[in-house]
Amino acid sequence: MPTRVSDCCETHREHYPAREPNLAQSQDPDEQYQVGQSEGLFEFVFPPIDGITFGAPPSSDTDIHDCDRSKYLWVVALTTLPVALEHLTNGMALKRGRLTHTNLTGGVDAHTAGELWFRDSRTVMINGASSRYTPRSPDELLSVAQAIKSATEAAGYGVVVASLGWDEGSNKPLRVQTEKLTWV
Amino acid sequence: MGLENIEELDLIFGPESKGTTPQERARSSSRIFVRSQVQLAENSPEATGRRLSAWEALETFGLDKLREVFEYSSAILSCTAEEPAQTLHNRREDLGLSVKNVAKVTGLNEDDVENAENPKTLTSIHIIEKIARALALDEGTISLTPGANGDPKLAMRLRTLESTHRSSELVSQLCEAAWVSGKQYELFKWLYSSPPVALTAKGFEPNSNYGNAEYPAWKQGYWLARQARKILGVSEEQPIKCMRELIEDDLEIPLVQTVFPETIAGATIANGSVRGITVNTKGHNHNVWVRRMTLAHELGHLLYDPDENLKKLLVDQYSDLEQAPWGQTDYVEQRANAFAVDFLAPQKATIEVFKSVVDCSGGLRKVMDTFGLSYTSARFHIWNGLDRKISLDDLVVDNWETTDEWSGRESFAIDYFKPDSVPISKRGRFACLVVQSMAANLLTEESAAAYLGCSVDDYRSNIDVIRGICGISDEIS
Repeated sequence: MPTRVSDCCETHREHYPAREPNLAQSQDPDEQYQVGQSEGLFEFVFPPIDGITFGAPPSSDTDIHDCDRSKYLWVVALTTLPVALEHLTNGMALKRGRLTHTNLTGGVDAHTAGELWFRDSRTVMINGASSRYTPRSPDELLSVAQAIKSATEAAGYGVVVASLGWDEGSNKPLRVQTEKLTWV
Repeated sequence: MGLENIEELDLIFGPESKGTTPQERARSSSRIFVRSQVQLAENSPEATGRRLSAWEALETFGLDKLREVFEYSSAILSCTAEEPAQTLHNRREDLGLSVKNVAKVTGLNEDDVENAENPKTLTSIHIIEKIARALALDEGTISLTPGANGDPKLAMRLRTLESTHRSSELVSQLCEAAWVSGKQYELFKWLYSSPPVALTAKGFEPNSNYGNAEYPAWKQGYWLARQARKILGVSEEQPIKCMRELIEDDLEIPLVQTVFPETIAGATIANGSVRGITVNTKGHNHNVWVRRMTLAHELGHLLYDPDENLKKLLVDQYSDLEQAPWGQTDYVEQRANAFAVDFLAPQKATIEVFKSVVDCSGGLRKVMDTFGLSYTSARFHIWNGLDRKISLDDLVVDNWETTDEWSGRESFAIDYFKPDSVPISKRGRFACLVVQSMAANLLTEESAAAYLGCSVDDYRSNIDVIRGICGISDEIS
């Protein structure tokens, strides 16, 4: 029986309350359309589901497009932790051409969101890049990485987990790999 | 990426911003962005990076990057994992400067400079910008563009300066002057939505005639001086009241007054397509009549030397400038010397003024007072104008000092500038453009202070003094 990462997020949910998504930048009505399993959504579990796309976060703007192909979105939702590839592979037509975090929640309240790469079957790397449910602090982002790590331990499935960390200069989660990358 | 719909412009620049184009919206936007070494985001009080106006962010990073900020909560700026470390390291090496040199000129410690050149290290953007400015790079595009728009030809010229001139101190000062000139040009374009009018459009065409055996270069210098006065609408009898204003305001040429090593008088310097003049305020130029000669000499180079002679850098020593035009063996310098003296004091008018006083000393001093001409220049100019029929030994004065009126006009913008923490090189027209740009919502207060090289507190508490010096009224600003 796979271990749900969401089940290891209760402390996170207590510390970092759910909030409405920031929809200030929402342009298209279908950004709040709830995608389903047939559209690539799955619950984040360990051992990981079959058919994962492997890849790594970018180190700069130059390799961002290559990295986008293997980029998953994650959301610590109220009771789940849904994950989906940002760029849909099933041909579903969204106006913006890719998923946004509110497509993982249907636009309802959630705690925290970001991006994720499975570098290989035993390595997970996350960041907090989300305009809808942006991590409010470095600790909030680290807390999610720790919850993922706890889930791997509960599953008895050895995985290393990294957070790309926080950029004090812009006061935002880092979107590129730097010296701030933290293995938990 | 298609955009520019109203909703998107509202999102990026705020609904209170006005206009239909991104540029119009940015000019009226109250939105502030903040950048680090690697990312750009919307401002928040906790961010430690550099705060930028919507205009600065749009002009520097482009609309797609601003859109990315709102889609992902931040935009990635670093174009490769090696930037900006590689650019900073290569540029320093290209200029022939050591880490210690850069640390000294920026006031940073050597570890800061080394860390900034290490691609594995994240460095404060404030430190990176300081280093970039010291290396005559465009600090705005650092990380984003390899090379950060640094002019490679300038670096080559500075590296290969004649050994008699070259010192790390001088290279650093010329880099600073090049940065100020380039930034001044950019601020002008931002403020007036177009670059300064080209000198050729004003009627100044490069002139490749440096004379020959029958027609020496100094005669051509005199001729060019007369042409320049005609173009500027200044009669033969009229003194040039203020060289600084003529260069900065009338001709819109960046002028950087700075402190060079004692022997250097001034230089013309090209940074990319921007040509500027830089002049030493120390040494003999402390006397503003000597400084006026230096300025006129550099102006002669800049107005009339073709590119192949102007190159990217032309450094003049006092020893070159203080010779009589015909005594200078380098024909480029000979022409510029002659241009300078005849531009400041047309020969015919000079002789008339000289002859209006009975004694030679009185006549000489009157020429100096009338045209704001240095003692050495006035002596040779009068002697030559009289076909050397009087003895040079008769052309002497006891008092070489300038009058307060002349000194005040030429030095006002730097002597009375506040705050004191702003280096001399950033006073004058550059400072005025900075203040105007901030008043026009094009720069944040933080950018304005960073450009001037002072703290935000210093800038804030002295802004009225700067406005007064620049003659900027509250209404205009």
